Amino acid sequence: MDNKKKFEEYKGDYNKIEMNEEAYRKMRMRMDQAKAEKKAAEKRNRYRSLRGTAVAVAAALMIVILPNTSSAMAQTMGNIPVLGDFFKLVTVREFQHDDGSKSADVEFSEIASGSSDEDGASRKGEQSAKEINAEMKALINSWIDEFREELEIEGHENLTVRSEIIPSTEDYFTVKLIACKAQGSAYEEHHYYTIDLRTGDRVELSDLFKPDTDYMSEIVNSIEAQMRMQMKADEDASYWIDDNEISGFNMSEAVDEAEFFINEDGNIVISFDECEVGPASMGVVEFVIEKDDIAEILK
Amino acid sequence: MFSRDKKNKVKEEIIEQVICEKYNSYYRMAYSYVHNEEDAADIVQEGAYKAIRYSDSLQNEEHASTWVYRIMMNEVFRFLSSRKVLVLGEEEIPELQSEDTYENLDLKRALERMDKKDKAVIQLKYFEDMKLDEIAEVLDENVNTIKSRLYRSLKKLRLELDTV
Repeated sequence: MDNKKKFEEYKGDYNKIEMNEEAYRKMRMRMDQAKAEKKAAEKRNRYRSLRGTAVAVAAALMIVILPNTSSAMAQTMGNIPVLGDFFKLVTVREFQHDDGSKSADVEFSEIASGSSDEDGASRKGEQSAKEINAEMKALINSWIDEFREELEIEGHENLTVRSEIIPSTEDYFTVKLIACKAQGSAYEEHHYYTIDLRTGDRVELSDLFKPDTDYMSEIVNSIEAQMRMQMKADEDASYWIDDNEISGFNMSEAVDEAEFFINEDGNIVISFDECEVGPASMGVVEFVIEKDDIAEILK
Repeated sequence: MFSRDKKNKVKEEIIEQVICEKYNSYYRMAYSYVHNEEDAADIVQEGAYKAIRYSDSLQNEEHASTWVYRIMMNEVFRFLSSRKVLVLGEEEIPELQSEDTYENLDLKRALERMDKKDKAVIQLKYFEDMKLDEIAEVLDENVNTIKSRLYRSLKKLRLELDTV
């Protein structure tokens, strides 16, 4: 038999090979998974671009307002932010990587403070900024280390790190650090750092409440009520409260580990990263605790 | 913003359609390299996942078919480079079932020993009826390279086939 004929026969055998039903079903499942992940990532991106616009608007407003606030006048008035325009966020370094399948786009930002005088608040503010800068740097470096380790492994991967000033009341300066990690599925985490512009001190959740108050129960109750309401209104919403299958879930612990900031209306916002209070499909979730609801225990 | 979303949705649908028409062709191609059903199925499943997941990055919808094929070939090559095959000895050649295929053993063996891309060129050209410029897209090489791969392979296989 000549080679041409053999080749035709080989072609015939080749064409007889077919995927079995089980493998086909699995392939369709993987395709559905890809669609769902894509949708979730799009939703997050849209949300992020909206947030970006809000920040830009707030920044534009600040420029208009600032010239009217003389810091000398502010100091005599006591409880007014003396460090109003003391802090800025600057990008100091970048880390870039792109080899086709793996990419990283990382910005290292730092809080830059104005020159400190003998005034206590500005000295404290400078100290707080230094602390926060060190914490952000360590966190970003750990993400880059993780990324570098993954370089050895086949597959797609992406790391994006950004930071921004988020709009708060005039009493607070808050920086938000965002990391998006995509590796098959996308994962996002948010960190918030807040400085009190009246004192220069960093703000922890407990600092916002009068001493010896059970603020944790108030916050937990509020969040749980909001979760139940959302789940009732939207069948896609899902949280791990009242779910017996997720044993050992403890809302107080989740709040304790969560991040928080104070929004423009002066309300506390608790932000949970993915998978902390619900399935990954919920993404990063935020709950606003209305200040009027907890007025009695707030400082 | 919304028109871009719509465009991306269309891309996703086109790619889904391509996969559903061609999955057996990807599977055959994968199988011809890995010689086992499970690995071939894994390759196609992973390729299908990636094609849908990254469908937004498809530039030209007319090239959807070669674009998906390229992802699949990359999955095949990735699998081969990750798999620990010491030497492709006789035992790796699958059991032959019929007398007819036994006759083909030499040709089959020759194909096995070919460069993985040379083999892809032969199979894409003669089994999938792809044009040379399409094969060039799938393998991310220029048409002249594909041509020389084709001529060289045919010579090695002592085959006289139409190369146009």
